Amino acid sequence: MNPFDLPGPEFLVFYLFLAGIVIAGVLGARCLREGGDAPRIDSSDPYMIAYLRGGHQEAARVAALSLVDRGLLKVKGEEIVTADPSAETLVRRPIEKAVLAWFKVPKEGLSVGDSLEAEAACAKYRVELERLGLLPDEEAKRTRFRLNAGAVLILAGVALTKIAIALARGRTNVEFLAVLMVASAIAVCVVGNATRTVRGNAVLGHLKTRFKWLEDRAGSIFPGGETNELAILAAVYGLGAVPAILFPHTKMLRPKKRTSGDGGCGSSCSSCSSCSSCGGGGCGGGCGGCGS
Amino acid sequence: MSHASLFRAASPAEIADEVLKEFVEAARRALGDDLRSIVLFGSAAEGKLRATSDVNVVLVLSAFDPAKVDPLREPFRAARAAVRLAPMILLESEIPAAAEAFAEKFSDILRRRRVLHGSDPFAGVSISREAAIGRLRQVCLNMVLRLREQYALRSLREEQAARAVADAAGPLRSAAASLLDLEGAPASSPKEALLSVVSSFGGAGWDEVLGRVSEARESGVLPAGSSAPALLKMIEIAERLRKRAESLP
Repeated sequence: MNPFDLPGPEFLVFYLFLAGIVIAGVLGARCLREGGDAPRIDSSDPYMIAYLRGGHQEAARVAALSLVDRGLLKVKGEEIVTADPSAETLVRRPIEKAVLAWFKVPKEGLSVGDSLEAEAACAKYRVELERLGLLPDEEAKRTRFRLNAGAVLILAGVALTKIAIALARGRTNVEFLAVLMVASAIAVCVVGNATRTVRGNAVLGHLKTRFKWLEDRAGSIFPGGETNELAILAAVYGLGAVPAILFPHTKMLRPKKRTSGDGGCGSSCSSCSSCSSCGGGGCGGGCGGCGS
Repeated sequence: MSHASLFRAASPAEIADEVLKEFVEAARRALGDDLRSIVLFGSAAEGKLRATSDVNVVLVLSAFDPAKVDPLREPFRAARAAVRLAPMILLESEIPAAAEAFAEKFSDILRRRRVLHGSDPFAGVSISREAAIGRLRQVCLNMVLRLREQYALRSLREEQAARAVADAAGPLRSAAASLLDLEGAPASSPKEALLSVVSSFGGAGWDEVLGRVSEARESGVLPAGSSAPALLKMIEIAERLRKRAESLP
C-alpha cells in the first residue's frame, strides 16, 4: 500500500509514527557512536564537573559561589566584589583567578557568566572532556550534523511529497502536516544535538550516585570553605541544590528560569539521572539548539 | 575503576566501598613506601554504615613527607565530600603512645577494624587498663558536658536536636562497649553494649529512647516533640556511664 495515498488524518498518524522511528534512529545512532564504557574523570575538580554539566558559565558561577563562601569575594548590596586586592594570590585554579579578576569592580553575580577570562580558563576542561568523549568534539559534531541532516531530509522529503500530491489533487488543508514537519525537524535537532555525549550523561549520572550522600546532607554543610563540599554539591547537582538558608549568596548566582526552547542551559539542566542508559540522549537536549 | 560498577552501587556501604577503593589507590600512588597500612574502623568496618556516618580510616606511615602527602590532598577532599571520609594520619612509631593517649578511640579500633592496605598495624597493640579507665572517664565526662551544651544550644530547633542525638549515638555506644570490656563482660557490638548498659538502668522508656537514637542515625530526623526529650535522656545515659566508669576498680 502506498502511504501517500492515505487520506489526510491517516497520513498524519503515519507521519507521526515515521517521525518517532526516525527520532529513535537518531538517538540509537548517537548511543552507538557516543556510548561505551564511561571513563573516570577527576571528581576532585568541581569546576570540571560544572563545565560538563553546564558549560563555562556554570563553572564560573560555581567558582563564584565557592569564593564567596571562602570569604575571598564579598556581597555588597545586590553586587559581588573582591574582598581583598591580594585575593588572586590565594587561589590555585585559573578559573578562580579569572572570577576574582571579574569582580574587582562590583558587579551582579550572574554577570560572571560573561567573563571571557573565565571562559578561557575553562578551555582546558573542554579539551579534556572532549578527549574523554564526554562532550562532542568537532568530528562528533560533524557526524551529528550529517545524521541530523539525513533525518530531517527524510522527514521533510516525505512531508513535502505528500503536500505536493495534496496540492496537485486540489486539496489545500496541509497546515497540520507542515506544522508536524517543522516540529519533527526541531525534535531531531534537539535529540541529535545534546550538549553532552551519551557517555557524558552517563558520567554525570555516576557522579550523582557518588555524591548522593552529599546531596542528602546538604543542609549540614558548614559555611566557611574548609572543605570543597559546597563547590562539589553545586557542580554535580546545580546551584538549585545548595540550601539558600545556609548560603544566601547562592540566590545571586542562580540563573533565572527561562522559558523552554530558548536553548538555555543553566542550573536547571542539572537533572539528568536517567541518561545513563542508552536512552540518555534525551538529556540535555534542550541545551544544544539546532546548530551543529 | 570503571564507573559502571559505581553506577550500580547505590547503598551507602557500596558507595563508600567504591570511594575507599579509589582513595586507597590514590594513597598508594602518592605515599609509596611510606604508606604502611590503611585501616578502616568504626561502623564502616562493621558494614553498618549509614548516610549520616563518618567513614573513619587510619593511615599508618613510616614518615610524614609533605611532598608525598600533597598529591593526596585533592583525592582526600573529594572522598570527604562523597562519604565524609575522616582520616587519622599516624606514624608507626606513634602507635603505642596514641593508643594510651586515646585509649577510648583505640579500643574501638581494636574492636572494629578492617585492613584495606598493608599489614595490620594494631595486631599486637594492647591498651593498659589504667589508661583505658582514665580515658573512658574523661570521655564520659566530656560527653556529659558536650551534650548539655548541645541541649542548651540546639534543642529549641527540632531538626538540630535530632542531629545532636544522631551525632552523640556513636560515642555513647563506643563508651558503653569500652565500659563492658573493662567490666569483663564484652558485648558483641557497640550497639549491643549500649542496649545492655541501658537495660541495667531499670525503669521504663529506655527502649523508646534507643529506638529514637537509631531513627535519628538512620534518617537524621525525629518526630516533632521527641528530639529534645531524647537528647535529655542521652545526657542521663552519659551521666550513668560516667558513674559506672568512676566506680571501675
